[in-house]
Amino acid sequence: MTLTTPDGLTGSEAAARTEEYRWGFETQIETETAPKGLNEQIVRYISAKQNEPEWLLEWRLRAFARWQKMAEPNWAKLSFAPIDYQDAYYWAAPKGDKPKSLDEVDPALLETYEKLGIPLHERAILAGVEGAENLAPSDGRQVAVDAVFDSVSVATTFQETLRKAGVIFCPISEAVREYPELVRKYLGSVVPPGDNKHACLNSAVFTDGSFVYIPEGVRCPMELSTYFRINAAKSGQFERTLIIAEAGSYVSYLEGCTAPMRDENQLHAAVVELVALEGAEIRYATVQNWYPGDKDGKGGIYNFVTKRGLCKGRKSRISWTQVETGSAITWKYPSCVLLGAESEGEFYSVAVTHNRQQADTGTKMLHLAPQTRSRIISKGISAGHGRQTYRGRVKIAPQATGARSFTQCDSLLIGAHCEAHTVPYVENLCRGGIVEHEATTSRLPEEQLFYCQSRGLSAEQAAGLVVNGFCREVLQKLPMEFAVEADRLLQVSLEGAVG
Amino acid sequence: MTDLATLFPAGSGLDPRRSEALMAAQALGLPSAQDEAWRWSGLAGRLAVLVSSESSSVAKGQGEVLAGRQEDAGIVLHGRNIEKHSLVEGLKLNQQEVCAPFMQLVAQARHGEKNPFPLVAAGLAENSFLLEVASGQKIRQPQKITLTNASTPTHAACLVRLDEGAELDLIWRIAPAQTPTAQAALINYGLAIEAGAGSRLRLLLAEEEVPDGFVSGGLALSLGEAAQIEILRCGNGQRFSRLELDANLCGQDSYLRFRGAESLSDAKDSQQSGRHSETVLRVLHKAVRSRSSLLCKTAVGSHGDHIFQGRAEIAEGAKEVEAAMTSKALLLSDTAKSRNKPELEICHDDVACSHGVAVSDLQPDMLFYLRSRGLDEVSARRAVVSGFLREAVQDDAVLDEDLFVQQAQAALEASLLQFVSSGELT
Amino acid sequence: MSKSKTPVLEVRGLHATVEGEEILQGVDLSIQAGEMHVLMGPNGSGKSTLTNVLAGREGYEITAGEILLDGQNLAVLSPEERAWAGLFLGFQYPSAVEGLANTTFLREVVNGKRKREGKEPLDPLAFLRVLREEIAKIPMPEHLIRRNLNVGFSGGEKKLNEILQLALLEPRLAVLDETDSGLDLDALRNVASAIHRQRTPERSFLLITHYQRLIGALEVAPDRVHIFARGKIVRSGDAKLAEQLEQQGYDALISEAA
Repeated sequence: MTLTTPDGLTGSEAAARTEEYRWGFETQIETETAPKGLNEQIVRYISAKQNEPEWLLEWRLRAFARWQKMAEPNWAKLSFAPIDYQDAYYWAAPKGDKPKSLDEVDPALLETYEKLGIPLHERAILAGVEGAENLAPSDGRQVAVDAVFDSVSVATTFQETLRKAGVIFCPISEAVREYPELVRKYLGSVVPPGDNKHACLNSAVFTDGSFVYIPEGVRCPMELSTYFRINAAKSGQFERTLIIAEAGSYVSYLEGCTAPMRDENQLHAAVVELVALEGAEIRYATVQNWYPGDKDGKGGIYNFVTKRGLCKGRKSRISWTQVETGSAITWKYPSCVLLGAESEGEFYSVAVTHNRQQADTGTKMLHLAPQTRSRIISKGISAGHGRQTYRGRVKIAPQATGARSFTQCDSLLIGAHCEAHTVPYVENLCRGGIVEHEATTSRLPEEQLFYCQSRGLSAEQAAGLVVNGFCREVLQKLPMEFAVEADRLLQVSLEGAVG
Repeated sequence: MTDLATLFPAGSGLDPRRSEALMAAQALGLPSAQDEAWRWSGLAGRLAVLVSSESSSVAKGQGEVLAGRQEDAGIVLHGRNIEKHSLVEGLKLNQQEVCAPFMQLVAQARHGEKNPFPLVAAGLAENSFLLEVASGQKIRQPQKITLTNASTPTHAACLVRLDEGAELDLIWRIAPAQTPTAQAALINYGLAIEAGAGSRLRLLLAEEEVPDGFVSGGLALSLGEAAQIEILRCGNGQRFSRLELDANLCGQDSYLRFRGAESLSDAKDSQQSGRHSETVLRVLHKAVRSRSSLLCKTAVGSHGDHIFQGRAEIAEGAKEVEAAMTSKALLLSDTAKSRNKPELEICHDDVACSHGVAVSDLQPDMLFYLRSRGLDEVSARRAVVSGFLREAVQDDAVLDEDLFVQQAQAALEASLLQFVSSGELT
Repeated sequence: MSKSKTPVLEVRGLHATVEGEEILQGVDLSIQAGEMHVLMGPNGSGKSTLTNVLAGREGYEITAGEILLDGQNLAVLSPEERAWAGLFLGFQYPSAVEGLANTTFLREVVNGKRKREGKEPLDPLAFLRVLREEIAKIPMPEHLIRRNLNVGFSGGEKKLNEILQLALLEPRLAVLDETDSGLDLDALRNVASAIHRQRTPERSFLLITHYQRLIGALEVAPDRVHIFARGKIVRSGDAKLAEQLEQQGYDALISEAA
């Protein structure tokens, strides 16, 4: 057990940095952690902390054994010092038992989420979201929130309301205890532990993420959302999320994430698995705003995430939308396996790399059945010394007759030192399949900037408008409240890039 | 896995410079499917063709050099021999000082990419040569170099050097031998081109089908200030063919244009039917205002395997660069495949780059339109496929008097005719 | 025109489906030689389906009724056989074919027709002379024939190129689908007079359009105007019907007819 310490900034430094990253504060709360480092004992410790059944502990231990033998993926265009897996905590949680109800949540935590704009009460709207205050309460949709703080979920709202609709929305640790047969059936079925080294690590040490189950024919009555917060120093976060949409059901899910500003890098290695059965639709949106490190690339989160959706049933649909503005390093490829005939996969992405941020991100669309569809819209913005790579793969298997895939992949470059790379794999093995891929790169268009400036806007404002236009197609895919927030995030993360 | 050294031993008695090339090739080793640039063209299982063709013996004798007749102007390389040799005035041919500058150019262009075949060519070719066009010299008569299959592998390493303001039209032709050989054929060539300031090279890569051919081509290009290289490649593919091109645009305002028109039909003469054609194009923009435009069009027939890998890399400081890359393929058979990887690598904001890929069968709307004008289905299919491939050469067709353009069109029409008569479009 | 003659086009009780859905629900239409008919209907009424069924596009299934061109059953013919039988469809959106030179295409079209008529094919030079004559008659800019088929053509240029094909193919019946769509006033007038010049006593026309403006641009009023709704002809009349439509709109005329 350790008490977290302030991160050693002077007051003015902290103030200056808070300008750029206003989510970078630290919550002073007593934290319990596992001993530092990673070994079999730690895996057992995590499993015991969550009162897990024996089968899951075994599953974790097998993954851990495998992880030790695996090599880190090395094909991404990312450069960073080797990760010292022993110099981190794999479990960190606010001290004390999990609160039984929202009333029992530590006021320090409630205050934290209040500051982050995440309501842990069950009032009508997601009040803290920028721009939402302009909406009448009746316009605001209800959003159920699962709040994950370091390794544990501290609160989940609207669970009762959802349960009445038959929807299960709870921390995955709870699901393991309450719905073991569902978890056992689907855990690792889309992302097997050996998929890659990061996913394997997650399988060994995963802690709270959300579990969602939508029964047959149910349209989830509200948006679901999980908010991930890393607070403790030197701790990693390894959440695991599993969403199952039974035949004919629908769910829209959003995740957000932030972390305090610290000078050392912290590891975030998550796994998200989605399963859509016949006619089901899952819309999954991410607004990723982990601490990106400072201007010189010091600190920031290493974001190594494996996200994959399985369109298992006929006419199922999975849509990924991501706005990636944070993290020092992003390694992330939300993908769709189109196994059901006529199923559809979508990937809409905006990614920003500024200062020394690096991102290697994209998607995979595997067309394995007839009449499947996929659509990829990727917008990358690279500024400062930012380095960004779009990496994608579209494959139309021989049996996927009538399959169609369209990719539009655009990069916007700002400044003489940014980098933008595009690495698409486009494979069509089926005569009846149609695949199209288009990519462009360009700088901020000078005429547009000039036009805006001639109307009295500053260079920065003008650039902001251009960036907004560049990303519009993706931002439109987000629920409105989040689109407003995401656009603001883009503007903030590009501050200082122009002029 | 067969070792490169057993396939191509660095035999004693070789010229030391050539021995050096072979050693360098052996140091690289044989690429495997683990090497990114070979991921879809693993050599495992295809090496039999190399081994079976007596490649382990290295010729000692000097190739025979014959003066060709007027109508057969050019150089013919057959196995280890230069069969014919005639050149127009103004063009210098040098068989001595090739190996070292060739290797140097290849090494510069390649950045350590693993392809030992051009080095093997430099090491084993009895008939390496240097074509040099002097400063300001403009050679109007297209020069033809023909590589044919023989019972021994044909290795050719050629260095083309264009001095300042020089111009040359070159036809690099792969063609079956006059007297057919029963054996599988390896034709391996390395072509290194140094284009000086303001020079211009037009290169036609005309690849006729070689029975059971295994063709590996390696091009290493270096372009000086305002130099232009225009390449047109056409053919029907081989049982296995792989063209790997590395271009360094070192000079300001230099320009590389590549146009490919390939039609892959079923290789009926082979037990392992189908053509495998891989085109790897890597362009490095090092200079301000350098431009590249790459377009590959491929009609893929039965059992055809089409692979396109492109990479445009824009170095820091190379401002105002334009780079465009497109691969379009038609899948004309249920067993046809197309794999594409068009990469961009950009290190600053002052660029205009694009790439595109489109792979599908013929569009039903287009066929319906043509049929509603009275073309029967087969004619409609032919018209669309021919148009698809002709697009690659069309903007060359400005000067009817131009001998090079005539040759290019003839080569394309010949490969179209062969494709049409292969029955892929019926 | 004597009514006792066999009509050029005779459509009787035509029903057709697309992907299992019945779009045409009993079309009856008869066009005599030399007549020009106009078929008008709102979006989604099934006009385009009718043209596609006439021309034999894949995916359109005739479930009942018949189509006779000069007494010949079209339903059993392939698209090219229908063209050979004398049917011409002017497309709303003609395909563009990269790499296929317009002249090359047109010559293949004409020589195919000549072959069927037992005539010698035209060599490129002889064909060019024929082509120039037709181009002058339409008229259309000559540079268009040097381009690739419809590649980079404006809306109006595409329509003129369709009419050039019509002129060269000399069909018995020309069905022109939304020929006026996407044209500005000048282009519309050019296309309308080009159509007019293609009229002969033997050749019939069926113009398909949403708006009255094409009719207004024609030099001679059409012989018949048909209002098409819900997959069939609900009213027919002379050119005055089009004017009435212009004033009252589709809803009024269709509900009146119902």
